[in-house]
Amino acid sequence: MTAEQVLEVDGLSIAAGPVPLVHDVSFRLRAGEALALVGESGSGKSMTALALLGLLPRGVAVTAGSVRLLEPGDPSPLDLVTAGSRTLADVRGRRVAMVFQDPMASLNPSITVGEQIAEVLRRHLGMGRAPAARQAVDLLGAVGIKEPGRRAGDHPHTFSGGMRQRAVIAMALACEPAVLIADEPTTALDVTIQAQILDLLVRMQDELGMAMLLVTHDLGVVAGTCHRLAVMYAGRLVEAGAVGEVFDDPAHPYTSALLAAAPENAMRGRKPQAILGTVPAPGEPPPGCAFSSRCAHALPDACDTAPIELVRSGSRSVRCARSAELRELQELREPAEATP
Amino acid sequence: MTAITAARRDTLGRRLAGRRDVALALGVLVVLTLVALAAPLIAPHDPVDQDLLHRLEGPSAAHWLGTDESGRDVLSRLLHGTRVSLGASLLAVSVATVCGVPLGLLAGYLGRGADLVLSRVADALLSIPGLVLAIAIATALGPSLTNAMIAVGVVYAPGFYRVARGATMTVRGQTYIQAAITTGCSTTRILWRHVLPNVGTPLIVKVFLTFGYAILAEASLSFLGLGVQPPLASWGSMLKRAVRYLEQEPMLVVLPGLVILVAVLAFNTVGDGLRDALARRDREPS
Repeated sequence: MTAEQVLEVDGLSIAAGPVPLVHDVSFRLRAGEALALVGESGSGKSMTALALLGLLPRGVAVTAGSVRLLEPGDPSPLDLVTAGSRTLADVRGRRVAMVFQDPMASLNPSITVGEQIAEVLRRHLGMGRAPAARQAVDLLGAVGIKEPGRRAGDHPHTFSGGMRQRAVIAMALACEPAVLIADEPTTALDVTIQAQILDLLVRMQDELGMAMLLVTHDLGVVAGTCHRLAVMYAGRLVEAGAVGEVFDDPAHPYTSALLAAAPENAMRGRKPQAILGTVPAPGEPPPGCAFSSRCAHALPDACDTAPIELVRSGSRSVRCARSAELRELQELREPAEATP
Repeated sequence: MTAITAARRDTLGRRLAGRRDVALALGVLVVLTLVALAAPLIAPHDPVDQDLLHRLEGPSAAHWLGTDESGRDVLSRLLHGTRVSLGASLLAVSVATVCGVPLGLLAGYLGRGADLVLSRVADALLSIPGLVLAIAIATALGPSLTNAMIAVGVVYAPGFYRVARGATMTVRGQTYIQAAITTGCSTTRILWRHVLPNVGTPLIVKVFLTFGYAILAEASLSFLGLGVQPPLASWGSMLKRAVRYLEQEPMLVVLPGLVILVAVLAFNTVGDGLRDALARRDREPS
């Protein structure tokens, strides 16, 4: 598939006043591609996602870099970092849409679900009241809400969590955006519902040929959903590559540790391995690798003195001083057999 | 599912009706409104028609509630007075709502500088006693009920401003507001479509409670002669004229006083009832 690029994030840095939160993050999104942005709480993944739509909270701002939204045949891509609020409002929901973590809170409780979806259509596509309402019903049907015609007139409180997230997805996809940002879309849902919502996202992404940025801390979510994976730690990208490759052969000790910590391991008879310690507080980054204090493979001098550069080779990149030798030794792969 | 929605929809009505005092007060308000609307149709006499041969008479078949010092029919004047008093109160409450609510929404949503400036202005206005300002304006512009009630409305506006601002600040942080932003809503649209409906509850309560105060303000102004001008009648102006004949015909004072009392009480009771009913609804898990 030679799909064109739709989003280019280059050297994005975000800070809350003097405190840097995200440092020099770059990635590309192609049409039809799903990229997972993975990291634990405080890694800066959500800030990165919010920055793409100019939604950073008060006091937090982009300090460097660009977020270019490309359109085929458009020679001058739009930089969402410098775009004015009117331009941003036109982009939001039309070309870049977002799904939030908590479906219970992301629908307006006092407006019917159908109206909330129709509102987006009327805002961006200039549809009339009646056609927008009909389209909203179709969209609800498309995301798997039963009896969409009747449910469109109901208020969100009559919807279950999974159904609300479906409605939120219908709202996000109403204008067939080029990019969908999903910020932990299944974290607040029951496990049984999670898979359905992920399936829905993948299906809709396929149908619409959208690019998707899936922000999550759950590697189990990434496996069946995304093509590529970018791992963030303490505000920096530490590893990026195709999901299969990274899972099979992690190049960064943090990725390896994350994989070992995944609860999915429990089903294979292995105990999830906790990563000891905590993410360094933003504002006091260690001089070298931010992960070195928690890394089982960290060596004095090699890891904790100078900043480590992100090294690119082919489709993969990694930020680790010892990555090459550790991979050589197969230190980062999971043990092939379960140890009882 | 529709059954659930339907049930939830009338719980509010049922709860209001379930409290006997609130149901009664609601009934009073409905009657007052109808009277205000239909006063010219139902009044047995012209409220300004004088009949100097029948002054200060007690109740009779021709004049159910008697006549006043100029021989005008008291019942007709009360009915027409309802229209004047409620109309004036409605004006004040409307002015207060129209001034206070949008600014409150803005201040609560934008915060920072806008909030700081608007809140100081509101504080300054709050320090002015409403009636005194209304009297000052009425003195400056000449006695006119409209001017006076607009002044009253302006003085009441900070109350609405504060309620709207506070409620907006809690709504602002909700995810659905951010979700609305991500769908490309403008600030105006977010305030109108997403914030206002969710801060409506305390505002409705505030409207009813303020209505009661506005009735009192109108009565006070008219009693002082700064409100409605003769020969027009309002509850307050009827009181004013009747006081002079207190000893001859005490009913002339009692009747408008009673009507004012009942109307204010009804508005306050409905406001209280609404607050309780809505508070319980909002606390319910959905």
